[in-house]
Amino acid sequence: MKEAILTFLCALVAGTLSAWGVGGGTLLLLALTLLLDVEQRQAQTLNLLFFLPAAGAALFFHRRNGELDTAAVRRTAIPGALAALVGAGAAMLLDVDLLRRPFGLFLLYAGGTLLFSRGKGFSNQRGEEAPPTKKTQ
Amino acid sequence: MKQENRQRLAGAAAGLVNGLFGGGGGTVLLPVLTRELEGRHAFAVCVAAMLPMCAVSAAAGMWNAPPDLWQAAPCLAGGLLGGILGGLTFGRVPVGLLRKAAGAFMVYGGVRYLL
Repeated sequence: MKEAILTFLCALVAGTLSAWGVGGGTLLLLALTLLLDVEQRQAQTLNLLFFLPAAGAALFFHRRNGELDTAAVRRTAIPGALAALVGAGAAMLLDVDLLRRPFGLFLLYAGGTLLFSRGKGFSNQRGEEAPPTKKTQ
Repeated sequence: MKQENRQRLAGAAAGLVNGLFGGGGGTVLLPVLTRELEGRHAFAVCVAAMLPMCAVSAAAGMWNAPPDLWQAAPCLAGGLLGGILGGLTFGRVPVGLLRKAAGAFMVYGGVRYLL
């Protein structure tokens, strides 16, 4: 029961951060494996499942606020879903320990990106938008 | 490279990372989108694009390593409530410091995975 409550709290925080664009999915995966000792493959599946309602709920508000650029969504989501299929297939074939180091390197990159990102152009605050230089339709 | 193609490539890279590692696609896609779309639109597009990528990867994960219901239920419930909370408060909370803290936790995680 205690583990379920801790998992719920981690998912609640990660879901909120995901909606704010603060890397919630990656954080939950880390929390599950490093803090709650969930096995890597199980943690990956849980993390992916977690994102579905979290993103669905966040999207409802983004859409209501008129923030969805559907052309850009199509451009990124279609190749992304196809590549995700390839990535997930490769992950099933590869030994989970083989992916530990590449994932560690990826985390260093992703963490560095967040640590050293400039405020401008990386903010979700009203009035702190990125320069509207190349906005697509 | 044209902006549209750059976004397609970023989407593909995010999907590959997400499928391979079971997460992290958003951290690949968002920096590219924030350079090319207005801030709030970039976040919305990132969340929307990650949804089908996670659905595909989750289906594969469910087939390969079906999770325990007692672990899945709190993740789903927490994710749903968190998504609602985050959606309601989006843009009203300064996230600069949170982003740095998240980055530090990821670097810590990276070191743990590498050692």
